[in-house]
Amino acid sequence: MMLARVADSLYWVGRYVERAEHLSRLSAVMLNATLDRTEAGAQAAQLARASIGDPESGALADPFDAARALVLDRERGGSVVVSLSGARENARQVRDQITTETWERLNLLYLRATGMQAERDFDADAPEFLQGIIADLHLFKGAADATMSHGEGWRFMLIGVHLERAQLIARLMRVCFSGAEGRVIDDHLALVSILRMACALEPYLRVYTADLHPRYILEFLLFDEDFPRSIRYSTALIEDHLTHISKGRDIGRGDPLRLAGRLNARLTYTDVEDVEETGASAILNTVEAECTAIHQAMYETFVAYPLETRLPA
Amino acid sequence: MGAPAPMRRPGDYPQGPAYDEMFAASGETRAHYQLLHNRIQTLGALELADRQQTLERSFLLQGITFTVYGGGEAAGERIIPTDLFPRILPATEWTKIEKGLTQRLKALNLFLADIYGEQKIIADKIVPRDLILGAPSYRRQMQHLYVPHNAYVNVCGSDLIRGEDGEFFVLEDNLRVPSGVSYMLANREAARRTFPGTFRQAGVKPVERYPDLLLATLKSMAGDWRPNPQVVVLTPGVYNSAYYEHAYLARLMGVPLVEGRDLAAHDDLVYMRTTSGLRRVDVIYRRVDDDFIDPLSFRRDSSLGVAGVFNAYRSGNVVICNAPGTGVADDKAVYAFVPSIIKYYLDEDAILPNVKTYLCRDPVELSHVLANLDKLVVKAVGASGGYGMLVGPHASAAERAAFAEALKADPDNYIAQPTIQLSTAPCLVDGQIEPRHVDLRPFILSGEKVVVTPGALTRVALKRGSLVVNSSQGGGSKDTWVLSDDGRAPLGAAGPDEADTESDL
Amino acid sequence: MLFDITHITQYNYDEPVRESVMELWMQPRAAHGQNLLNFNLDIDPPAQVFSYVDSWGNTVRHFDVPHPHTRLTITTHSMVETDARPPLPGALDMAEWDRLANDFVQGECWEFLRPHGYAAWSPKLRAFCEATGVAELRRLDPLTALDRLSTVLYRGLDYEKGVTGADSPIDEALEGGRGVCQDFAHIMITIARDWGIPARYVSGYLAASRAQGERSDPQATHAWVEVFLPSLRWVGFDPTNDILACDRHIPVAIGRDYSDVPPARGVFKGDAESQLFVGVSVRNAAMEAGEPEFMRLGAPAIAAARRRASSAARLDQHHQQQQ
Repeated sequence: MMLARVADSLYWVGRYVERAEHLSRLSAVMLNATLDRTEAGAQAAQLARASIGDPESGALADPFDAARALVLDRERGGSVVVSLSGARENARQVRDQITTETWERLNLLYLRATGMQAERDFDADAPEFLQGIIADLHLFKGAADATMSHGEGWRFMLIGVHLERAQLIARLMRVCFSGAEGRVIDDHLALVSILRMACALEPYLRVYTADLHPRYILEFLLFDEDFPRSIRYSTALIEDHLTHISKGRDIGRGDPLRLAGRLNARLTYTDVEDVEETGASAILNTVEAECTAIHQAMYETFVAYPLETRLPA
Repeated sequence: MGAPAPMRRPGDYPQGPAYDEMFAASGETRAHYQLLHNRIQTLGALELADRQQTLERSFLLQGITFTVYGGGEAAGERIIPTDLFPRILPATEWTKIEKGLTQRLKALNLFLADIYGEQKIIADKIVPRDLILGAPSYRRQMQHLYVPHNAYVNVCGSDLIRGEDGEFFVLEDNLRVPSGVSYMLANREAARRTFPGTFRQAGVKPVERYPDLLLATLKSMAGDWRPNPQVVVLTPGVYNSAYYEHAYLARLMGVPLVEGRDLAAHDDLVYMRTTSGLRRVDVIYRRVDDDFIDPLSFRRDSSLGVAGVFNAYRSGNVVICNAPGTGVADDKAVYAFVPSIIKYYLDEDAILPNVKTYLCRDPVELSHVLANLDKLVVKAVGASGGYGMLVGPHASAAERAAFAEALKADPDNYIAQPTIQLSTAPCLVDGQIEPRHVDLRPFILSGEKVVVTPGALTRVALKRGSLVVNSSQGGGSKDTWVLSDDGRAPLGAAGPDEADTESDL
Repeated sequence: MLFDITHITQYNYDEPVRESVMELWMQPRAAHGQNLLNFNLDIDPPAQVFSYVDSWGNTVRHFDVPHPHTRLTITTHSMVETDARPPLPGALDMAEWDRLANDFVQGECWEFLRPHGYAAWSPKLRAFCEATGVAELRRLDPLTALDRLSTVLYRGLDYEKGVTGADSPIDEALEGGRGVCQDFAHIMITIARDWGIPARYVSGYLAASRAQGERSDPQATHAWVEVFLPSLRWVGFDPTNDILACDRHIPVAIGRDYSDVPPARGVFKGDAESQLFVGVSVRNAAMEAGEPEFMRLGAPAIAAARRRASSAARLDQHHQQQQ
């Protein structure tokens, strides 16, 4: 038995935590890419920003400032600090549902990243600062995994993680590879940066060796069964968790499990040749749109359902 | 080896004029403290400090905090400091406390039923009408409302103090949303490991059953026709100073911790919103003040409550524990009438006496109070937590003068009591063992029957000489050992081999 | 007299609201020289209605509408038969004051002897009493004093609907020199209580007669005062119209002041402004059927300040109140 509000808060902890990690990684890659003052480096930075909907401001904006804003800006919706605040606030509301270890990890990280010292630490050694955040987020996820009961609450949190992840990766790839705006990326450094943004460089190399090609990268990040950050991997987990949560319920048309199943099937039974033919944008748009639909359906089914529709007979 | 053990020599313990829990006036150790005293003698200062630290760490892990108000470094969320020496009560003393508190709560519940019913006690002029009907905590909505078992107060925390002659007095009853039981439980959990051998040998009554007893009490309030009543704990939320206790109790009872927004009343029934739909709620253990329970029937601007829940309660479809309106009976002015109340309903004399109380609403008593401010403790009727209080002997002339003005301006709002030297108990303070004033808050449950938990929260005034024990003003606490009858461990308590595997809280 | 009363209360919301919970004090009392012959309550959207009797003996109806709606209409039809009130003596003896002071009256009517809610003193009220010489009236016997008081208030304040709300403090009426029937009632109650005369607030209807010069709005609910005089029991005064309560007064509920017995009060969830329409028609049932019924715009009740949702909550849970 799980309170609707608690499920919702745990879900948002998952989303915010994943978002914080992704943005941290983007920022780190941006900083790294621009150390190498080439065209490709700048391009990588621009891709990163475009993937999170940052308005294109050309090559004029200083990449260091951009990377910094991505992390520390309290005003913008999508920054690391704002995401961590969101995660912590939601966790706080359901403090009694998560273990002390889990809470402390998140709380400590939040305090470290949002304190007065944070800005100075970033300016002193940004890569180290970001590494620290990412490492702490891993510790948080590990604590949650190891100490929280793998019941309904934990599943809601993980659905949040994976929905967020799938959407972020899909958006990243759509920006890089869908051929929109005539963008063709073939520069080695740029492709390495993109893989880094998805935390996928080494796993990719193990599968495809040093042959960096957009087609393979797409294939890997969309369809790989074993790589935990591929979209396919996420959609499979989303369906799995929703199956557990939905046990015993009637599944209707707009039901999130049905939508998740459909999306997962899409990812399972499409292969990269189909994608070649139709263009990547179709499937990537589908992923983003369906994830949004699942998000909405979850909200309406588990959380904000109208009172009169669920009165016991 | 470290520093020599404290209390080796007589005179090591700076005993004052107050009754000391451990030592008689002659300096001799009281019988029920003998075991502990012997143990302490064998431990050096370093060892003691070490055990204190272990205790604090264990507490931190349990994460139970209270919010301290006021300025300075002390403000914010803190873990209430727990002293490592338990406070020990022998069986015979406890029996009297138990009987006295049972009697008291029975009478108070009858009193509440009467003032929300026929009001006979008012007609018979035992208590003044305006004191009851004019009390801000009197809730008209409760009139003629059916309360199962007439148990208006389901959880009661009465504060007891021991005077210079060793006798216990009831200082105050807390009948609305009494807190601190989580500390009683957490203290036991931590302290059991601090003196494990002594604990086992002493034969201490277990308090771990409290959550089970609380749950059984709450369930007993539900109607017979609800075979497995759904109990919930209603909390104002994470920003409330006692939130962690709410969460702790909900967890130990295995029931949901809900906020007002998780509940909904429809057609006079109460439901909670779960991910699998609406589920009926039968018993609400509410840690929300009366005023905020229901914006329809009480304060309209409350967002902590559930609109319509009171009408559902009125219809008998849900039970609110403790019932709204119990605050009248723990009003500081009504307190003075409690012995008369016991006599009126039970035809018995109070087993546990009240502290002598002057009601400033009475002109004769007011003039006595004003003439003796330097010897009295004056309290505002509406205040709690140790605020709004004047401790005459400790106050400056200016403070007393200012308070006198307040008294004259609003006499109905004040009562006064003689200062009582609370009893002291040994505490570890900066490596020394020193006496500190303590009180006692046992918890009494009342549903189908009345049960007094064999244990209590002992609160400690940490500042030397201070009589203020409230946690919100920086007080501390102690584990409280109530010994069983024959001094040997009762059935179910830890044997030498089982200690480490006993119930995990 | 036989009366047929229709009372329509309608809330219109600019955004859909849900989980609306309401209590109504609309059922005429079946006591008091009055028979309730019939009572019908209709809610739209439909809802199951429950009832209880409050501590003043009023029958309170309550219901909730969980699903989203933009309009809530509450319609009551009552058929009431009132008896003629017994005639009052011209005056009482001064010993009535002593009778009022006795323990029994002070005890039984304790709640009607204290200021409460809207019936409370304020510097403006004291100034008004000074200016109109109210204190002098205390020298008369209670019945005459009250009668004169009613006239003082009638003359001292104009009646004007819409300028004060049902829940405005009396200071607003005193400030402007005009008010609605609630204000007249609250002021009279406050003064009577101060004199040691138990006084209670009566909410109900008046089949007002323009012919008799009554100025209160016939198409609205009405409020007047009942005082307890040991020799006469409860006596009704209507200071808005400066008349005694008669068989054209139809009591619905009694309490200490308006806040004890609002015709309707509730809360809902949602972020909406509400507009309130009230229409009342009181017809002498002996008259011809076929009198037109109509709705008239009552004082719109603007919703209380919106509440911000807590930052973590994704559910749109706002509480608001309506009158």
